[in-house]
Formats: sequence, C-alpha cells, structure tokens
Amino acid sequence: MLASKQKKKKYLSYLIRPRSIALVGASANKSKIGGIIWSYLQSFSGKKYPVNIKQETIDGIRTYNRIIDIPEEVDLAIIAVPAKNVPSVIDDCIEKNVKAAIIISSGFSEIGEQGKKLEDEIKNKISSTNLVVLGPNTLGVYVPSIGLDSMFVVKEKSRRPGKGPIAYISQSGASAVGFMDMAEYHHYGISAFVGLGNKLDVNENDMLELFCDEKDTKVICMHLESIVDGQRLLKLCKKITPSKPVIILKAGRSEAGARAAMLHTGSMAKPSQAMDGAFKQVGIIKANDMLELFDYSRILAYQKPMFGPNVAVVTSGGGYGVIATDYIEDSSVGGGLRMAEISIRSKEKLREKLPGFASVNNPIDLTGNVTDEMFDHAFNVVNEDENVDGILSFPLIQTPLTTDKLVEITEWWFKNGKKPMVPCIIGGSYSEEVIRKLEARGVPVFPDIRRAVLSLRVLYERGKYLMKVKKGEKFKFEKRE
Amino acid sequence: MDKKYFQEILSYSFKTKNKVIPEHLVKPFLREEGINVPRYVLVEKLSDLEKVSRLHFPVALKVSSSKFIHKTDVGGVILNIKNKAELRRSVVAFKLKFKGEKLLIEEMVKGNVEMISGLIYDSNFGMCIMIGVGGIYTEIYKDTSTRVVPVSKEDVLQMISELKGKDLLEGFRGIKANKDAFVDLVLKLSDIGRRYKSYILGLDANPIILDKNKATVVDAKMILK
Repeated sequence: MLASKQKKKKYLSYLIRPRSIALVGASANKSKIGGIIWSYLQSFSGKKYPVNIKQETIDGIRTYNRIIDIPEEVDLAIIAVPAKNVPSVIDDCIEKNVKAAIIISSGFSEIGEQGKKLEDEIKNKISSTNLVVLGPNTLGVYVPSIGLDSMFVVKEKSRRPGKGPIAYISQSGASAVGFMDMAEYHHYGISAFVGLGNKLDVNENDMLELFCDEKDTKVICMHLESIVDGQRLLKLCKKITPSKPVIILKAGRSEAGARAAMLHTGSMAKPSQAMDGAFKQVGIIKANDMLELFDYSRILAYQKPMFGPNVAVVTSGGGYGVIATDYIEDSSVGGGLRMAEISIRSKEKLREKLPGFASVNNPIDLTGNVTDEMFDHAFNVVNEDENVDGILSFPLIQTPLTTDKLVEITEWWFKNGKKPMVPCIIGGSYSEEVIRKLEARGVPVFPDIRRAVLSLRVLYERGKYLMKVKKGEKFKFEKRE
Repeated sequence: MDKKYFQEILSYSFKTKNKVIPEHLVKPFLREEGINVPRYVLVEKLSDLEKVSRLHFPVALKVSSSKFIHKTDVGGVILNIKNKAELRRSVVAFKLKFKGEKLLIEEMVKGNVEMISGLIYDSNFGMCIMIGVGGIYTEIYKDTSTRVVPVSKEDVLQMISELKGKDLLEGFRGIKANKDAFVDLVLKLSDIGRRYKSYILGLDANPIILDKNKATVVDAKMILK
C-alpha cells in the first residue's frame, strides 16, 4: 500500500513537468477542443505527439493512430476524445507505460449514473498501475515556465498569467478561467495551475504533496468544492504551512451527521465551524470568496508577514484614513487589528518635513500639499518606529505635487521596507494606469480599503502562526501584543 | 485498554442496541476521567431513596434513559427539590410517568457562569471539540469555537478568545469563574475525544457551571457511532 503510494507521488510530478506529451484527439480544426489544445501545445518546450485516428497529418506533422504507435516514451497523455472512448485510451496509456494522463473530456460523474460508471471503469483499470489520472472534466494544467497549456479556452478571451510563485489549484473550471484572466491582468504570477475536475484519481491532497517540494512554488492557493480526506489534508498542511502559506477557498459546507444534531455540540456549531477551527490549527488561511483567494494569495506571495497587530496608515487624504481606521479596528467585518501609537520621536521626525497642518498622529495625513519626498520620508519614519508592525499606504496620485516618482517610491518601500506595506489606490482610469505600473513591478495594489485591510490581517495571521510554530526562532519585528 | 466505565457504556450499547447513552452511565465515566460532576445517587426503586441521605439538599431529579435525550422536553427534570418529603413525592410521580426507567438524583450546583463544551465527530476532519457560552440563550447566540482534537492549552485559550462572551471568564463585572478549571476540563474532554474517537459520535457537557474554584459538568449526553 505504502509502496504504491510513493510511486504514485513520484509520477504526480509528470503532470506539471512532463518531457513529452501525446494529445489524444488532436485536431487540425481550430474550433475543436483538440484543435485549440494542439495549437497551444506548440509553445511546450518538450516533445509533443498528435494522436488522431482519422487525420493523417496535422499542420504537416504526422499523427499516430494510437498512443502505443508512438515510437518514443510518453510522459503525459492529454485526452480530449468523447467520454465513451476514454477507457480504451486509458488501456493504451497503461500498455505504453505513460506516467500521467489528463482527461479533459466531460460526460462523466457530473452527468449522472452512466458517467459515474465510466469513471469507475477507469478507476478499476488504473488501480493496480502507476498511471496517475487528472480529471475528468477539467481544463487540465498550465505551467508557464515550460509552455505547457492544456486549456481549451481561447487565449483571446481568457488570458494566461505569467510565471510566478503561486501554485493555483481549482476544482471549478469556470472560476479558474476568470481567476487566471484576472491574475494575468494584475501580474499575479503562477508556478502552475492544476484543474482537479471530478477528482477520479488525483485530488487536492496529491497537489499538496506535489507542491510541497516544488521549488518554484512559494504559495499554494486552492479552490475546492469537496474535501476527499480532511484528516490527511490537515496532516499535509501542518507539514507545509511553516514554510509555504496555504490559502483555501472551500465552497459548500462540511455537514455533521443527522444523529449528532441531537446534541448541542452538533446543532450549535455553524456547519463550517469544524473546518474553520481545523484550518486555524494547521495555519491554513481561509478565503470566503474568489476575490479573497486572489488577494490573500498575492499578498502572501509578494509581501512579508506582519509580526504584530499595530498598523500605521500613511495617507494624503483624511477621508481614507478615517474609513481605514474603522476597518483596521473592527474585528467582525474588518481586520481586528490596532492603530499603532506613533512614537514621540517619530512624530518629531515627521514634523521636520511635513507642513504644519499635516497630522502626525495615526492616520498620518500628509495633506493635499503632499510631495513625493514627503511620502518617502513618512514611509521611512514609520518603518523605523518600533510601535509599528505594518503599514497601510494610500499613495494618492491625484494630488497636484506628486509625480510618477511616487510609483518608484512605493515600489521601493514595498520591497525593501522592514515592515510589510499594503498599498491602496482608489480612482478611475488614471489610478488604473498607476496600479498597472505598480503591479507590473511586482507590487500588488488594492483598489478598495476593506480589501487592503483584510490583506493586512492575513499578513498578521501568517506572522502569528509563524511565531507559534517556530517558537525558538527570533523574528526581527516580533513584538508584544 | 478501556477503563471500567467506558467498558460499561460499550456493553450497555451492545446489549440494548442503543447508541444514545443514558446519563447515569456517562457521569461515572466523566468522573473516572477526572472531570467534576455533581454528587448523585441512582434510584431504581423507592427503597433506593435511603441512599439519598448522603446528598445535600437542594437536589435535582432527572430521568436517565436512552429514550429521552432531551429530558426537559418530556418533563423529565425537576430542579431545586428542597427536602426528603418533596423528593419522595417527585420520585413516586416519576416512577409512574417513566415506567422502568432509572432516575438520577443530583446535588444542585451553584455557580456564576454557564459554559458548554462537547465532542463531535466530523465526517471530514475527525473528532472535534467545541466550546461555547452556555445558559438559557445558548442556542440563540451560538457563541462557539471548534477545533480538531487533541487540543493544547494554547489552543483552548485561543478558542476562548474567539468567543464573544470571553469576558465572562475574565472577571467581567466581578463575576467569579475559574477559567483555569474550565480550560483543564476542556483538555480532559479533548483527551477523551482522542482516545475514544473510534467509538464516540458526540458528547455534550452542558451546562458546565463555573464558580470561583471549579468547573462542574451538570448535564452530560453521549452518542456512540
């Protein structure tokens, strides 16, 4: 049992790191799924073989009738043929010693009993082999670093994100398409995308095993609709989270048995409460919707954790500061954090370069007369202040005296400041341009105060967890709470 | 491997095919596990009332049966019985009302804060432990926090900090409730959950009455898998 598990784990990596691919159902017709995938596979850096029983050649390349006709080794089979033909393709994969297969085709358990039977048939076929199977009913995988793209959604309508530190795993294909389009737009870089589909064989726990040791991945981000083995998930996450943050959006709720509802313990707890508690115990960051999943994974990937609850707000607009204060301190809809008490020394330093009517109390209001230098100075001061654990900045670009240099200043402090900083920019098309400049430089920007504050909360949640699990280690900015 | 009273619970369930365990079997089990429960006497026939002299009045009378998991709903609980004569009358009435069932007579427990805790087996994450604020509004506020067992002392403190009613354990308005005793009780429940996770589907300790010195489980229910 254990031996087969280890073999399985070894082959999992071929899903995202194959050296050669066969596309079963490859087509010259670009309006067919097999045609779209074949055209996108042209960017794949390894070998690729089209398999099609009807067409002799595709774009001048000879096709193979069956996988077993391919003379060389095949690591990964991507299967895009009608569901009823899939079992025989799986037979061929097994005969050919293919290491991993992705069943793109739909028409399985998602359509009912008949499809379920097909899935069971495949399960039986692979149970005593080393072949790992992803899907069915999935977009498959997308690995930008090796040009692997099995997604049949056309790029013009659904763009692909660039290379980056985040592994994105989704059980829902449709939301993955939206998520990745959004990711591309915001320069959210991914190490790999894996669509789980119906989870016939490969499930979220296998993905945790895979990305746990995968060096390009710094953050694991998952959108799940079911959890196949919660206890195993917890065990794996306990091992992973001290080094890599794991963020999970779990749609749908975990239900306790009807008999247990006779007890208060069963009836009083919210349905998701066991999951929420379990996630906290092993340091999983919980996201409630796709936007949270997106925000939390990008801030954890691109920003350092926060080791205390005290936030300094640096703004040039008083109104933002007031709303931010409310959200920072509110524990039910906001961050449950604290407004930092700016030290006397910091206040003196701030006064040196700020106009007399600026506020040096938190929120620090640089006023509409703010210059790039004042922002730079204020970022410097709050970074040095011992009472400050993190910074919420509003690099308000609309004011008359600020320039494009503010983009560089924000980038510099975002990346080099001692304290984590989360920038928030609100506005229309001009703000959008600035946001895009910052995000292109690897600085995620939040277009909404609450989203920015919740992201700070997540940085603090991460910091607290690290302090808890790595007690012995010194954290640079560890502070009393 | 299993201690004596848990064995009794298992053999009761095996013999009667009941998954709901009556309170007179749960209480000694909890006591054996080092958890405070009120002093009680089990009454099967009227002559058992002699044993009651060991208890201090006021007492509570409860029916203890697999059939009535929510005793109050069937009129199966009488609180604040002040003397022997009153107790005798109540027992006679219960013997008629709940034929053949065992009755539990317990000393009333005084305290300042009511909490709840329990175990619940989650099909996905395994055995979990819940804590919450007890009392008559328990089900309205649903002020609870849950973790997977086993939990550490640190975990329990964090769970308490997640409750809206956390200040009840921190001397709010001079109310004296022993937080440490409650934490200790939750840790013991967690340990029960860890050791008996293959048997227990759920366990309720509600209310848990806290005073200055201790935490006492006044009512306990258990369901086996």
